[in-house]
Amino acid sequence: MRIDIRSISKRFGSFTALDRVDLSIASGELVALLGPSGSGKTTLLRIIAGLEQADGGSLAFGDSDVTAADPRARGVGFVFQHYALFRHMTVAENVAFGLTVKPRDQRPSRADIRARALELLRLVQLDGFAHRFPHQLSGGQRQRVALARALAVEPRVLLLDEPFGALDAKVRVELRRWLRRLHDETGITSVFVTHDQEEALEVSDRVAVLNHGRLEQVGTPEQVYRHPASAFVHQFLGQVNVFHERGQDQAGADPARVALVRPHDVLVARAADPLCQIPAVVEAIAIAGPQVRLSVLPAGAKAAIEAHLTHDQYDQLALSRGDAVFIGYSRAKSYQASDLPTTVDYQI
Amino acid sequence: MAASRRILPGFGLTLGVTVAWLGLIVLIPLAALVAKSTSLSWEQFWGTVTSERTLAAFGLSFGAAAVAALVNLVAGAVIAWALVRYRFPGRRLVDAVIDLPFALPTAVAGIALTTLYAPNGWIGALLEPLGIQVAFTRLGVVMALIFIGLPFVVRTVQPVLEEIPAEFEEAAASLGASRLTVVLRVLLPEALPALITGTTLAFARAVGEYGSVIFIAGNIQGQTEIAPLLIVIQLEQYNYAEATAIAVVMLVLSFALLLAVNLLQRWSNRRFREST
Repeated sequence: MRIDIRSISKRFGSFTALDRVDLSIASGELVALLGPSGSGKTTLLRIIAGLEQADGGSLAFGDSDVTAADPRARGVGFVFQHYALFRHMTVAENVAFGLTVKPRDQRPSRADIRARALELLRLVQLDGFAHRFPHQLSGGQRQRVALARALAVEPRVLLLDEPFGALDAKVRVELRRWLRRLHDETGITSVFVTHDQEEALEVSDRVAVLNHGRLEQVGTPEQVYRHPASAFVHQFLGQVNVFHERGQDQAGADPARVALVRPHDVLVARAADPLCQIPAVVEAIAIAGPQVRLSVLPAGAKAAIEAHLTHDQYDQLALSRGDAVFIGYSRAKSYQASDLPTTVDYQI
Repeated sequence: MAASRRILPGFGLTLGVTVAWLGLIVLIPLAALVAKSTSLSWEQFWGTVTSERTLAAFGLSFGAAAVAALVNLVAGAVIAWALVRYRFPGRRLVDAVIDLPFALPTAVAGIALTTLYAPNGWIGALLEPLGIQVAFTRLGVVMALIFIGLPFVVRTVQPVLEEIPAEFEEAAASLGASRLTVVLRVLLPEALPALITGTTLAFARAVGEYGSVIFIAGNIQGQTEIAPLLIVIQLEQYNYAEATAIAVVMLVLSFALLLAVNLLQRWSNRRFREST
């Protein structure tokens, strides 16, 4: 089911949660709403579900306008951040809830409801848990029950609010890959909210980046990561170093502009070469799993910058703390310094 | 009990205090009561507690308390819901008024209710043409018991309703449940243990109520005479053993009822030992 969000706005008192957001989601797509807290991403999801009413703009599912439709009539499945499983019902009763509350003439028979609930539990790999109560399950299992419950009513649209937010790191990674596979199997149009850029990039077909209630960029994970449309997107999707352009490598550099460089695009060399011309000192070396993280302090800079090397590069350079090196960067994008978000990781 | 050593000491101490306190404050007086009643022969005892007057008093005390508790269950649940869910001017005032029956001397409540509901009182005068008489009837007894029992239900249910996350209702609505279904199948089961507890407390309080009832009841023998009053009447006639015999039966009945409700409570609680 195609979702068209047109110029949706929402205010809470004097706080602008959403400011004229336009977004179209194609049928069968899996889209991530990514942004820091307070960016309006959850509000947008709740407006799509009908749990919140927009102050302005319109919302359509396919060809039908649902701007003012009751949440009961929208045919959305909503998975809450804290699952909101009914505590007094078993897992099977939770999953079947949406079917058992249908009007009598549309309600499947008891046997059909039960069969459907068990089938969904199989889909989320929880067969055998039908008679447990939610409090007897782990976080990841509850999450999958919540998903099965939302899918039971065969929603046109699946909405997930921070689906992995309350889980530990290892379960998160497993569950998000599993969600991606599940989406590929069911093909249901899905939108999920996250503040974790890695999660958004790994799971979704497209990422919509929100900041202060405005849509900063919409694109495939590759587009938003490698070709960010704004300094905010560049900074939010992964770490960045800020290089104030000082004209060593660019004629007529503008002091009002800065270059943002990701740590893996920072080059480190023993001797100055055309790309690496900034003298610096190695402050710290951390072997962080697959990469080696260097902290290097350029001459005259207040704060160190971060460079990520492969183990091979690191071995070739044979670095140790306190060594003098030259640094530069292979890929950068320049922005107006005034557009720079206030929080940046590293700066020279 | 302490097979494995606990990190926090004090199990022995607190259990000791619990047992000693319960013994001193609750059990010894009750035991004295039972002991006193044994000065009657079995025939005398049985005769006292099964006399027509006594049976009528028991019937009224337990029956009116049950009716009042059920009325309070419904009214208390609605009031607790309104206080928890809505923000309206005067909400804090209403919230404070709920506790008044706790604090007011029950005799004051009884006199006030009698004045209002007497045939020439403000409300009594309005009801009289309709053929409804409240004061000096069993209805009056129920009215007084409703008055004193209300805060028990409201104060027990209120915190539980406050704890129910709004997400439960939203989840149910997004799954297509109507408002009524949400109330019956999602909210009510969540609040059920608290509703049972509150209603039980209101009931227990009403069974033992004396002060407010004697003013409004009219105390007609065999009709509007409650069991606690009958005990006082027996005491005034120096029939101490008969008074304790009636008291012992009340005690046993009350204990049996509370125990039954406790079991019901455990059953309804079984399903949510931990919250999500």
